[in-house]
Amino acid sequence: MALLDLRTGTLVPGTSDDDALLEPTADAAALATAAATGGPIAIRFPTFGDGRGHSLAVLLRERYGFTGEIRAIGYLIPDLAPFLLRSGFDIAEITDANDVETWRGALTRIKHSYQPGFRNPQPLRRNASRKEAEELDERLSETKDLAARITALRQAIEGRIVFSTSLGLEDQAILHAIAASGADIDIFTLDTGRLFPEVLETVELSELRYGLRIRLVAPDAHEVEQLVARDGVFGFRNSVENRKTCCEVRKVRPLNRELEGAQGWIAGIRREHSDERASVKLAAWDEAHGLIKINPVADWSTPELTAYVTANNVPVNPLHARGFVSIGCAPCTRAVQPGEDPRAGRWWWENEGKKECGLHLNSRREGKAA
Amino acid sequence: MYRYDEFDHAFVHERVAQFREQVERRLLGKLTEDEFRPLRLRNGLYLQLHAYMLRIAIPYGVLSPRQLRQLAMIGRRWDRGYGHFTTRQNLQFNWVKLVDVPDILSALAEVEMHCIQTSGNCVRNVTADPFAGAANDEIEDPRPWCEILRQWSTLHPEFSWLPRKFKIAISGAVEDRAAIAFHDIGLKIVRGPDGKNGFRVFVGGGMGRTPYVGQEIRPFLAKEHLLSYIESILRVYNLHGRRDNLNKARIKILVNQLGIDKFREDVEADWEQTRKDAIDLPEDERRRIMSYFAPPDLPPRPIRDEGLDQRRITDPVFANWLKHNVRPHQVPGYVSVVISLKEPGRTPGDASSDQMDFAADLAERYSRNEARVNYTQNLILPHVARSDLVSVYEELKAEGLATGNYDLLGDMICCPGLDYCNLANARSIPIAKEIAKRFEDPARQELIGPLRLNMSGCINACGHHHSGNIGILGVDKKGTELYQISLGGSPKDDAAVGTIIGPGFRAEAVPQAIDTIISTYLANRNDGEDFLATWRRVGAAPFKEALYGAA
Repeated sequence: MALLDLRTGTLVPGTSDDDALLEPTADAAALATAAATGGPIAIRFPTFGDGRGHSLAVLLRERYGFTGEIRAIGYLIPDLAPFLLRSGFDIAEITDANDVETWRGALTRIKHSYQPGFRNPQPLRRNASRKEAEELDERLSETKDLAARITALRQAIEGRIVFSTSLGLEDQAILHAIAASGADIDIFTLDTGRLFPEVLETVELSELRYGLRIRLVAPDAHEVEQLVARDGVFGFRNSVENRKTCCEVRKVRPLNRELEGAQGWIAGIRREHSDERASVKLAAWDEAHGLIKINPVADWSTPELTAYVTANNVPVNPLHARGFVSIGCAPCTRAVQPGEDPRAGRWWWENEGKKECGLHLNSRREGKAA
Repeated sequence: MYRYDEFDHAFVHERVAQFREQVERRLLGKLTEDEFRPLRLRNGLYLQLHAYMLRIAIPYGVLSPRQLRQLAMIGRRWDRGYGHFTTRQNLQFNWVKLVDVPDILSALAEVEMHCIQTSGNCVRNVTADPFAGAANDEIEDPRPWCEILRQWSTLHPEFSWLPRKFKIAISGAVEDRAAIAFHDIGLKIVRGPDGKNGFRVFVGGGMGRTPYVGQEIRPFLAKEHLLSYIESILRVYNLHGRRDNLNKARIKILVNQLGIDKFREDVEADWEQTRKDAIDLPEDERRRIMSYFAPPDLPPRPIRDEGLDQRRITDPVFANWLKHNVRPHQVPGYVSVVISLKEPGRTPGDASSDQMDFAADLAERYSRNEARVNYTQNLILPHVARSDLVSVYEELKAEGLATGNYDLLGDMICCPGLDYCNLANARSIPIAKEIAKRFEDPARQELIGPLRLNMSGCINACGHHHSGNIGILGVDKKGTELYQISLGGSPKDDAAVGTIIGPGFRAEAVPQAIDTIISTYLANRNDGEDFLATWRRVGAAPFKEALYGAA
């Protein structure tokens, strides 16, 4: 037996042994008693085809205002996962921990749903669509309070939301707001194998400060081996072509793997970064990845950002103090002079204006071709 | 008609990918057959007597020429060159291979079609009046509401694992042509007290082994609350419907166990607490869906057509077809044409791929790119100019599709029966063919008048025998096929379940028994009476006597 978090598609520790147990025949009194415990509540499924549990979860959420954890236990199959998630369950107790991938697949294969659900209180057929993104963009623009923005996007999007952090100033501000809002967000950084030690130290420091886990996502070892065998250890210095392949292998592909099945993706892009990024939205539909991409600090100025970080005593990467602004892999990042373009420190030997690694290009295909 | 937007397209493609993966897991043994069965059923895939059967939803019976041609193509490429239109406005292919199914689903998705929830214990394809948007007795077009229900019911988070299947039908006209009284929920659009339209809601109707006529749960429901009210009905059913016995799991059993008053009380109590604003469709979304069903631009045409009048006088077969298969239209100068799939000697409801292509051509040339299918297993061209009728007739006649028997004895509803179905106890198609042969003479059918003859090959009643004026049910009695005859059923506004008239008949005796029943009716009827009226007046006695001799 293992507990699977339906919101993230990952295993979580614990058991359902001490939960308040509801049988499928539970009446109003039983629901009220269970809700009063504060949870977790376990609802038993005698067979996966017995749909009473879904109604019970809906009633707990809607009629009893229950916000604690609801778990599905009993005879479940992975294909039930999206129905469970959308009727208000958080956790499914699965018999075989090796089935996680199948469960995750079932959770993510269908990205469109026609009805409102507990985590997506929108009317018929509105989630994860372009329109939804536009509405979210509008809602986010109503406030500049970062934690409020995080709360709003978590409420608006049903399913897994990921935050890809580079531990830069913007991302640290966002991390602080995520911790402050208590929103359930899957946080990771791309461990390219060539990061500054200071970045890893910042990971450690941030985890201690906020009690959150920042997952390190590694590239495919075999692909890295092949790349280095072909181009050499610093092959990316020889041509733009090589450099982009390196970014592709170490960053873009691992990112795409993580985005697979996510409904929302938070990143720290700001309009001030470059001309390329000047029109970036707070929230926009990302067709290539089939999700809503959110840049919750897109409209912040540098002074606003600095003020937020200072005011909240947010842990920052010590490299910033040494003149590093936009921080990527160690060999490809240098400090910039005061007054220089913030992204001038990335791939400084290249002359083109488009200094992008491919993570934030508008389509996955472009990213691969680059 | 409705057109998929980006959302719908993405959804059906995701659904196809999901099914591919489920098939793979089944083949790898990661899903047991018991676990795989409900998943494949939810994609319309049955394991039949000889092969897999794939049931394709034709939402509320509306088809474009492009869709018809794609169905024809699928029939040619992956089946045996024909398909079977069912009594629930679906199309079945009876000979598909499991490995081909994901490709067939992809081909369907290309033309905005799917097999989602055409089987399994969930909300099935929502059916409607096949003359919707055309009939001259229409109060409001039911199709937008069907489309709203289609979207709402698709992979519903709460109501996808019900005790048993769940069928909804909507009629928007004065005359019920969707058999709403025999559905789990029947909706009839009616004019409300303040002049606004709403729904009269019926619940608990059904056929199967325990037939019931639906009972009224609400005389008037404001339209905007349709979704929230249906959710409350489904919630009461989902929580309290029986799950211990497959044969007692339909909502009709629950409604009749509790009594309609108690059931209504429970539904209303739940509805009272529902956050209606969260469930009911916002006005702008309702408008968006409505806009797809705007009536086609039909400039009024002359009501009289000289060629047609001439032909009517000189050609009695044409006149007969005109009388029965041509229905009045809302717009002057137009009609709806029923393409009978009931030519004597052929399988009721079957259409070859060539015929589907042909119907697509006709829809394109004569009916504003629209065709329909109705639950009595015929095709319909909804918007035909009166002045085109002679040409349409000529073309239909050349293809053997101009049988003028709509709603007459020859227009039998018939399930596939033992020849295809592994639930069936008896053959139905060969019996239907025998009866059709015996009553082949159009003059005799004309004399008999409107008559609904329905036949099922087993108790599950796919052939709607309970609602037939004459119903035939095939049963297996100690290894012999026996046919029970019931009389007096009706699928319309005066809905009734037929009464079994006496012991069953052997297959070869059925046509004579029907003949005897018809002769008894003709001998007893008063002027202007149809079969049902005579039956209701004289009762069972004369029929019993004629069939079984004096008691």
